[in-house]
This record gives sequence, structure tokens and C-alpha cells, in this order.
Amino acid sequence: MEEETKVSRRSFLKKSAAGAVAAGALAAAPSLLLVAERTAGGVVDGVTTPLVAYVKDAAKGEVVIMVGTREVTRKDPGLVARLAAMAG
Amino acid sequence: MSSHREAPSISKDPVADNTDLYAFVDPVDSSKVTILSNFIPLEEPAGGPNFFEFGDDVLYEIMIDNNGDGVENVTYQFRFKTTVENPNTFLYNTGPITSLTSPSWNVRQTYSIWKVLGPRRTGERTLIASDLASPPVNIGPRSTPGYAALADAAVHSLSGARKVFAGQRDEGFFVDLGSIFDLGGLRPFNPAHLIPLPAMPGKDDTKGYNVHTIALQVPKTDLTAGGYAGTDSADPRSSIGIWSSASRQKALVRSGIGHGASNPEVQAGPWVQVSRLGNPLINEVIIPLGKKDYWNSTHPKDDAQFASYYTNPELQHLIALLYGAAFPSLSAFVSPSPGASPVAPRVDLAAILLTGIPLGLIPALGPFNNFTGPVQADYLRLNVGFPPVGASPFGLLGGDFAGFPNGRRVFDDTVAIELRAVAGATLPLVAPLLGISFTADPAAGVVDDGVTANEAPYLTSFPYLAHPHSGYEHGHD
Repeated sequence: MEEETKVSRRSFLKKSAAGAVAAGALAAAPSLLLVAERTAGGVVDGVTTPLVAYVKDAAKGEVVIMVGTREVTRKDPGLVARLAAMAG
Repeated sequence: MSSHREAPSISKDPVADNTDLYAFVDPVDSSKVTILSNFIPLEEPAGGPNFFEFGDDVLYEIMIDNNGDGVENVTYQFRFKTTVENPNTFLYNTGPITSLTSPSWNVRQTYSIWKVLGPRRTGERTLIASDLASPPVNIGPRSTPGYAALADAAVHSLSGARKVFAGQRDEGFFVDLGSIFDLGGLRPFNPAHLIPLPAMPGKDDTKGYNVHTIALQVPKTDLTAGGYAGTDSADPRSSIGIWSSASRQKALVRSGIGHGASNPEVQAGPWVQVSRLGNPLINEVIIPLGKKDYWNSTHPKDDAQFASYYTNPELQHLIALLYGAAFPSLSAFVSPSPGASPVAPRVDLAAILLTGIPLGLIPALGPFNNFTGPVQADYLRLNVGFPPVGASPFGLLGGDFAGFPNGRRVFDDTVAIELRAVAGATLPLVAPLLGISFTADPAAGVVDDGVTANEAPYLTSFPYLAHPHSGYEHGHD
């Protein structure tokens, strides 16, 4: 599809998973929306177009990541826990 | 209307609202098929300062299924780009727009076209044209003098004598919307209504409004399986399915304060279909309110899930209820006894709208056929093997094989055709197959909303829909 980023799917997944930590108790964590932009250097290194990550189901530790016209869903309770912590 | 504001969600998103779809063998060059897909309902021509335009953030698509599985084999994708030459004025134009390169034209749209072979999200995708100019909207004699020439200049020729146009047109659909949605009122038949009123002529409620059209003219061989020339109407390869849609990206993050070129909205994720259109009036009056948004999001290959709404449409019950005295046969059919179900499913409607009509199945139709296979899918079925020689606004009901439901031409009176079909006019054709006896009510052959033609003459050549009304001179009555 159009608007593909310069990031391959493999590297994208690899980078998205980086930094995952051990799972925590997440049932009460709110849904979160994270937008990383190119100008927010270092948030997601190598992604050259806006990236949207959405915690679809905190209890299940599921994160939906969208970039360009692609979407992947990852089960990463650790990442969800970190996002929940960042959201305060 | 045909499919204008027909579902709760899309009624709030006009830029993506797919309002009408037409597909027909081109009457000027019968080796080609012309497809018109309309968006943005009921454009008030005096729409300044921000006149109507396609959405830069919308993916507009026209799909063709040429092997009857309900899945597209060919897709044309259109993406638009708006350019503001001078953001320091509130004006759409700073003087007369005399050409598509006029420096006075401040807000312009260009577009690119891709062709996808195979499923539209995973198939082989090729850019076939880019940076094509849309014409300006029709503002008035000072801003857009000589509008026809401006619009004609925006008919672009592509390789292989293909043509494309994307821009504002007159709303070519005609309907008495105000009466129909006042409890099924049909003004000429007002005295026969359950709540009677004096008979009167229909009123064209789309009169004086505009729409935005994507028009494409391509050889039949671009659309048919294996590039078949479509010369024999009896050849199954001559029948193709056509539908169109609009999609938006799944995620939108508004930028808040400072929104603009330096701080744009963020859009990401896969395309999500928010509007689709095959046969006219389906999501309007066949699909119930609670499933309209869902219907817009679904794919024709899955339309069997909606089949019961076609085979037992609410509309046939309403006609019997509201105009029972004029439709005794239909009334007895839909309710043979108090609380009973209809005598039989409306397989005539399912054939017309979901599979097409097989060759030889209905002797009364002679050689007519547009069957695409047993998969139930709501799209326009066009047998490109029938030459574009007829001119009956009632299409097949008028004995004209080149009109709806064989594709759809701009002048086909689809409101009358579908009203008559649902009222029972086509049921006798399949009654022997159902093992029932049914004689259509005389009223089924004449029922109408009283609006029989568009207020503006259609063009006699591509893109066929009339030039748009100007904001300076227009009216709705």
C-alpha cells in the first residue's frame, strides 16, 4: 500500500517490542493512546512517519500499533504497564 | 435518497458519503464502460467561502468483480490533494478563473489514480496517473465564467483512450424525498394513502443541488475476466459486478491548538471502509436502521448475511399497509392471514439485486441475463454484451436491456423501478419457480413518486452528469 514507511515490518516489530518489561497487574489500567512523531526524536527510533499505539485491552496486555497504513496487535503486558505508569 | 445520508454515521461525514453509482456501456463508444461514483450529498451551490471538495484524507475506490466470487479483481483508487496558493486571503479565488492554470485560483485539488489487480488491500498496485487537476467548483459569472470549458478541460485522457474526471457535477439523481419520508407518501397516489391527501405532482428534492463525481471510462477489456471483449451477452464473462466505497484511516489524532501545515492531524493505520454503494436505495430502504452503519463497513462477498432483508423487505409490507386498497394482491401475499409470514420469499428481488438473472431462467425476459454466480453480493451487475441502444428510464421493466438493473444509467428512474419491483411487478416472473400463483396489482406497474426526470439535461458525452449549478444562479423549486 501507499505511504509505506522506510521501516520494514520486521524492524518495525522489533523496535516496537524494545523496552518491554515484566508484566504487572493491569486489569485496572485505562486505555491509552500514544502518538510518536518524527519530531519527538528518540521515542521510536527509525520510524519516519507518525506512529499511533493504542492500548486496546489493558487486562490482556494488548497494544495496537499503527503506522502508515499498517496495523499490528502485540501482546506485551510489560509495555502496557510502562504506558500506564507514564499516564499516571 | 439513493444513498445520501442513508446511515447514521455517514450522515455526519458527507465528504466520504458515497451517494450514487452508475455503470453502463458507453453510448458514444460501445467498446468502453463508463462508471460514475458520486460523493458529498446535497451540495448547496452557494457554498462559499469554503466550497465543497473531495477529502484529502479519504480513499475513494471503484471495484470490479469479474469472476462472481464477490471479491474485487480490479480496483481503481483515487486520492486527492488540496493546495492553497495564498493562505493570507479568505477567497477561494482572487479574480476570474479562466483556465485550470489561472493564477487567480487559490484553492485547488489534484488527484492521483492507482489500479489494483487482485484484492484491493493486497493486490498488485500500479500508479496510472498523478497530479490530475479537478476543475474549480461553479461559483458564478464573475469567478468561473465559461464554466463548461473549465470543466471540459478537466476531462483527462489516459493511455489507451481511457478518460477520467473528478469534480463537481449537478446532482443527477431525482426523487421526491420530502414526500417519501413523510410516511411513505407518493404525491400522485396521495388519495390512496392510509392518511390521504390531495393528489399532486412529485417534487424533485435534489433539484438545484450539486455533488462531486469520480468518472472513469475504460475499455470493457480492462474490467472483464481475461480481458474478454464482451461482445456476446450470452458469454458469462460479459457480466461483471461493480461497486464503490470510501474509506478513512483507522486512527485520527487531532492536533489541537496550532493546527495547520506545521502541526497537522495525525492519521495512521489501515483503511476502514465507512461508505459503500452498489445497487441504489439498498442501505436507504432495505437495510434496517440498526445495521446501516455495519452494512457500510462490510464487503459484498459477505452480503448473504443481509439476504433476508431483500427477500422479505420491510418496504413491501409498508406498501401493503399504506396503500392496501390499491395493492390487494400484494397485501394478500405479504400477509395471507393475520400475523402470518409472506407466502414466499422474494427471490425475484434477490435475483435482481444479489446474484443477477441467469440466462434462460425467466422465459419472459428472452436473452436477458446478468448473472454473476450464486454468491450473493450487492453490486451493480452489468452485462457489457448488451449494446447501449435503449433509452427507457424504466430499464429492464421497460424492455430495455441496457438499463437498470443491467448496470445503471444516469437517466434510469431507479426509484420507480425499485418501487414497482418491490410492489410486486417482478414477482410473477418467478412465481412458477416458487410454485405459487401471483398476479401483480395494476398499480404495481405504475406506482411512482411522480418525479420522472432530472431538472437539468444530462450531457451526451463523458462524464454525462450535467455541469454543476452555479452559486450565483440556482434554485431548489
